[in-house]
This record gives sequence, structure tokens and C-alpha cells, in this order.
Amino acid sequence: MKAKKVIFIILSSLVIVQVFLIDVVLKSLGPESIGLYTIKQFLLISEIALFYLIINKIESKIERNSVSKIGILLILTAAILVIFGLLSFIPGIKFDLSSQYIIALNYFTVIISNIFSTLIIFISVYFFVILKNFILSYRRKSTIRNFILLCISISLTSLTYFYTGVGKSTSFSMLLMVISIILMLIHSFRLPWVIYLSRKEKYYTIGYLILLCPMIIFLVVVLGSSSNINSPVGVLYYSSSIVRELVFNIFLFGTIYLNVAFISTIFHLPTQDIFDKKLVEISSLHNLSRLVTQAFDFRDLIEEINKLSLTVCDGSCTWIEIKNKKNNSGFYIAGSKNISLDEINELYSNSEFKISEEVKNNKKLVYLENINSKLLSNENLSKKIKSLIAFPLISHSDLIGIIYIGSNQQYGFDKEYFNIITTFADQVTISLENAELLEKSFEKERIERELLLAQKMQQKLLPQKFPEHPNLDIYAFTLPAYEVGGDFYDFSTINENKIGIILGDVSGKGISAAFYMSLIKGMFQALSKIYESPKELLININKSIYGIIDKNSFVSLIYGVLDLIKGKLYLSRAGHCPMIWISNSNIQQIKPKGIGVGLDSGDIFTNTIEEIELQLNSNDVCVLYTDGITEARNKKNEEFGLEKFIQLILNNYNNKAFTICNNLIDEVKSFTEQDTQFDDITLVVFKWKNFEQN
Amino acid sequence: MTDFKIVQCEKNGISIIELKGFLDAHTAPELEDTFQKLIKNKKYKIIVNFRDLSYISSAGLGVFMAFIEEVRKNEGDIKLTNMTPKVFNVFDLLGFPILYEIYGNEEDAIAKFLKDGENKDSMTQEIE
Repeated sequence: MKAKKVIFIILSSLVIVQVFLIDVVLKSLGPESIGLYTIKQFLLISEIALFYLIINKIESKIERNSVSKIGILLILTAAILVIFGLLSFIPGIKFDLSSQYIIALNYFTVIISNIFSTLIIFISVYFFVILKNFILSYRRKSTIRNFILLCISISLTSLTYFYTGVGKSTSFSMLLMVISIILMLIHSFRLPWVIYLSRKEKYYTIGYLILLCPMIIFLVVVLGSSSNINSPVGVLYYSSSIVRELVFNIFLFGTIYLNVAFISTIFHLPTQDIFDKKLVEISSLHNLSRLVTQAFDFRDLIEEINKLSLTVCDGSCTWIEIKNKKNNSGFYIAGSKNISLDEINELYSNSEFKISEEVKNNKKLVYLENINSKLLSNENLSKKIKSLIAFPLISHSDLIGIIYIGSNQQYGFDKEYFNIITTFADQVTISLENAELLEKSFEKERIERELLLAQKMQQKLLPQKFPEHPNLDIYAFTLPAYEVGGDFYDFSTINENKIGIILGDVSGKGISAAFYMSLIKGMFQALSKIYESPKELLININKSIYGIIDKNSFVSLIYGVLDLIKGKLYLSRAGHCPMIWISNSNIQQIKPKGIGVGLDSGDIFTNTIEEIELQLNSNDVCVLYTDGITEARNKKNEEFGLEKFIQLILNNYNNKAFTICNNLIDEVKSFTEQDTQFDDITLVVFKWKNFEQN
Repeated sequence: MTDFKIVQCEKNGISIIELKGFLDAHTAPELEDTFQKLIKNKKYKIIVNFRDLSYISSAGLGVFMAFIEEVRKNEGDIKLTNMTPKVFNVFDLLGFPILYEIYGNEEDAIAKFLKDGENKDSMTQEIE
């Protein structure tokens, strides 16, 4: 790119030198060399083109705002006027008209003309490029096409002067001129940049244009009217009529364009306020929409909303009330700006101050245009708030909050803005809801974490290892339907040859069941050491639990104490599923009498409960279970059922307790096909072995 | 899946609740509401007919536990009738037959209510 620029500069220098040489030759040879004259014209055209390319390159790299562009135009115009001024003062510049060509009368004239005409051409092209940048800023599809038409029209107009003498024009060139002027007029309305000027920039623009417009009008008059070849414009005529015409056209266009721009800028001044406000509104709404996606912290969000309220509505203080969703106790002030909480409370304590009620009742914006000082006894406050708007934040026709914006001027708000305030309110509502959803999801995550923790705790509450004794083979399994459950099993070592095995089911599922379960586990561990008889233990658990447990909750328990030497099992049941006892393929459901724990305060429970003594044979299988197994359901809503369960135990009769347990659970799982588990599942399998016999 | 329906009627001043379908943790609140309304209206003589109930879970059993105390305090009762063997088994396991009166049909339960009423009357007469 840089190389191109250098080539252009070298080329244009060459062209300038050539033009100069031709002028020298023409001076020495006399005006008869038409051929040379033609070459000069072509060289000048290429000079203009090269200048355009160079300047365009330079300008395209510089970011100028509109004001600085006008400034440059002012400098360029002034420069040309200075040049013309100089020319009229330099003595000895003399031209003569021979037939239709201008000839320089001395070599000094040739030199001076060449220097200044080149300068003028350069400045004019520069002027044109800046104008072009004005026209093509904020371009539309048609902009470039129209501008190219204008360029062609101007070029053609200029080219018609190829062989025309000074001050002469053909009707064809006049026609082209008219077309050019029409196109210039059309282009002079391409002034979108004026709208986007800030107030300060507009003042600068007007200031520059006040200087520039008369100057450029004067320049155009000079360029257009003077056909006197010994006036300063003669330098251009001498250079070429094409050049003069082109320079004239460029500045004519400049005159039209800049004068229209001047008037337009002046007319835009009164609407400046509105435009500035709109720009602020747009940018604040934009900020808010960004806020919606970024609000992670509620307090930050409120702070940001307050800031935006002030900018959007041009207020002097603001506060926001938000509905308290947690306990529905009405509204609270979530945040304020430029007004303290005390001041707001003071405002609210005034019985005349009914704006909140009004908004709450009508769910519509309320505007107090002119607040009298009666309403605001506090002097400080009455200075701060002279007018006030309050508007509701409505989500699904529910009022979730109110934004108040006060102004320190009477009639401080423009009713035109109320539309925008509605949009603003919508955005705020969305962002608040977003923040709330976010908070909820954090909360949910927290609860999930807590539940996982509870699950781990509950797993720790289960016996970490099974009782070990040469005469005992035991295994157990539990699987809650949710994270935590109400099923449990536990063991207690009563003495070295006696163990207690308990299994239970707290009614209901989930957390509440889990709490009772841990309670009963604690009681069991404490009481089993005191009451050796299962019956006594259950009676005591019932007594302790009855007052604590919910009326509609209860616990079913089954508890056996196994004498590992004698193979005797003492069994009591409190409303639980019976024990399945398989001895030599003889299936028995052991169901001693007893009602659930927590159903009765004591007497009925105590009078009902039985204790059974069983003499186990070696390798008998005993199974304790919860109804989660027998009532497990598959997709067809069929129950797993007790019969199938017993049959499976029979099939596994000779296996170890561990295998029996796992096989049973696998069967249940494959039956339900991993569907949602409805209830907790718990299973204890144990076998007594007569060590002496074996 | 949780199909549950309650049909209510009244005979001889005794409220009869017929249960249909599945009574579990999801449907139990419906039954709770029914009991609450009865108690609010001071109807303490209640018969629950289980003829069309196909399943009851522990949460369902809990509903009866929740109200029996208050009902009995007000000289009423909740009597259960027409249980299928399966449903009876669930009640039986927990020992409900000891705590509640369970009858084969509504008529027996109504008769019991009426008889209790007479006994009470004759007792008060005796005292006088």
C-alpha cells in the first residue's frame, strides 16, 4: 500500500514537471503547437487523477469527526483565497490571448502559474475528497451510485472545455452544468451526520460554517465570474480551461452543500435536547438488556436499576420497592439513590403521601407533577423532590415492585417518556425475575447438596460391619427410594453369644422418615443393652416414641434376639411384615402378635405384643424384609408379591446369606426394570449354624 | 396411575365414605380433607367402606391414625368395612384390628353405631 502511494507521488511529480516543461516549450515556440497543448491537457487530467488517489489514500487512514472535516474545508478554502490574494499582489504576471490560447508573456509568469495552479489543483482535489467523505458517511445503497453520477457529470462538464477558449462555453456544456447543479442539490440533502452531532459539536460546526460559507461563496463568485485573464483566476485559465471548470464545479458543490449544512445545523439545534435524551435512553435500555443476562448478585442488580432509572428518566433521586415473596409481608425498600432510607420513611410516614397505595391499587404509573411543600415538611426533602413518578413492575399481572423517581424540578418529567418507562419497567421486571430464578436454582442446588450429605449421614448410621460369630452367617441390604429413607436395620451385641437383629420401616418416605429412623436407631442401641427381651425392648421404644411421633406416622419393627450357642431365636413383632423361616424346605411365616409403634400410647400395645421362642436348626434361613420388596411394582403395575419372594428364597436355600441377599435384590431390580422405586427396600438374611454339628 | 376416588353419603346420621382405587402418599391428602370436613361439621360417626380400594400404603393408614383420637374424644368412631383380603392384610400386619372395629359390611357397622347409641341412652337413664 505504501509502495503504491510512493509510485503515485513520483508519477504526479513527473507529470507536474512535464506540464511545466511543456509550458516552457510553448512559451519559447509560440502558441502554434496544438499537439503539445493537447498533451498538456491530458497530463493535467492525469495529474488530477493522481492527486485524487494520493489524497484518498491519506484520508482513508485518518478517522475524522464531522467538525474536524469542516475545519479542514475551512483551511483549504482559506488557502485558495490566500493564493488568489498573493497572485493579485505579485507583479509581473502577464498573459495574453492569442487566438484561443492563453500564452504567458514571460518565463516568470510560467513558473509562478505552474506553482500556484498545481497548488490550487491539489487543494481543490483535497476539498473534493473531504466532501466525498461527508456524502458517503452513513451511506445507503443508492448513495454511491448517485455520487458517481455526480462525479461523471462534473467531469463531463469540465471536459467539454477541452478546446474551448477563455470565457466561452457551448450550449452542451451549459446543459451538463445544469445537470451537475441538480445532482449537487440532491446531494446537498445528504446530511445525516448533522443529526448525530452533539450540542457542543453543533456549535463548533455553526461557528466554522459562519466563516466558511461567505468565504466559499466569494471564492465561487471569483472563479465563476472573472473572465479576465489577468485576474488571479488567469493562472487557472492558463493551466487549462478544464482545470478552471473543475475547480469551479468542486467549489460550487461545496458552496451548495455547506450552506445547506449550515441551515440544517441551525434548524437541528432546537431538537437537540430531545435527540440527546433519546440517545441516552437508547443506551440505557441497551445497558439494561445487558444487565438482564449479567445479574448474579441481587444487590448489584438493584444498584444498577437505580442508576438506570435516573438516566432514563432524567431524575434526581430514585428508590425501588420490592414485594417480599418469602413471607408475603408486603413491600420493602430494596435500594435507593440520592435519597436515604430515613428520608423515604419520613415521606411514607406522611399521611398525605398516597402514591404507593395508588400504584398498588391501580397498577398504573402515577405522576405527581407539582408536589407542594405541605406534603414534604422536611426542607431538605422538599428541595430534593418537587415532582415524582412511581410506576409498577408487573409480572404475570402480579405487582412485584414499584420504582419511584423524583425530580428536583416541578413538572420534571416529560409525559412523552412514559412509553419508554413502560419498556424500562418490563426490562427491570425481567431482570428481577431472572435474578430470582437464579437464586432459586442456587437454593435448589444447595438443598440437593444437603440431601446428599444427609444420604451419606444415613449410610453411616447403618451398621458398618456385620456381627461376626462362627455360628452365624448374616447379610443385609437397604436401598432408599429417595436420597434418604425410613427403612433401617441394625444389630446389637447383647453378649458374646447373643445378638439382636432389628429391622424397621417408618411410615412415609424421605426426610421426615429419615429423622424418625435415626431416632429409633439411637433408642435401639441404648435400650437393647438394658432390655434383653425383644418384647420389653419394643414396649419401651413404643412408650418413648408415642409422644414424639406425628399422629399420622408410625413405625413397624421386627426384632429378634438370637442365642448363637443354643440356636434359639426370641422374636417380637410390632406391626411389621412377618419373618420368613425356612427349615428343611418347610416354609413358615412367623407372625407374633403386636401393633405398630406409635399407634397407641401404651396399654393396648403392651397387652397385645407377643414374644415367640423358636428353636432353629442348623442352616435354617431366616429373612426379615420390608414391604418395599413385596410391593415393588413393574411398568404393568404388577406387584412383585410375597409368593415369588418366598419361592426365590427357597431356590437359594443352600447359598450363603450374602448370595441369597444379592440374588433377591437382583430379582427385584430386574422385575421393576429400573423403574422409579416407589418405596425403600430393606432385607436382612441370616443363617444359624450349629458349629458342633458341622 | 394414582386413581383415587371418594364417594360420600349419610345413613341414619352416620357418614359413610367409600374409597376407590389407590390410597397412597399422593392421594392421602384427599382423604385427609374429607375427614377434616366431617370433623368440622361435627360428624363423628364415620364408616369407611373399602370395597373398591385396591391398594393402601402406610401413608394411607396414617390418615386414620391422624383423626381417630379426636373422633373418639367426641363419642364417635371410625369403623372400617368391606376390606379385600389384601387390604385387610396390610391393616392386620400393623395391628389395626385391635385398634379399630372392622366389619364385613356396612349394615353391621351401622347396627353397631345404633346399638352403642342405645346403650349410652339406657346408661344415662339408669343414672337418672
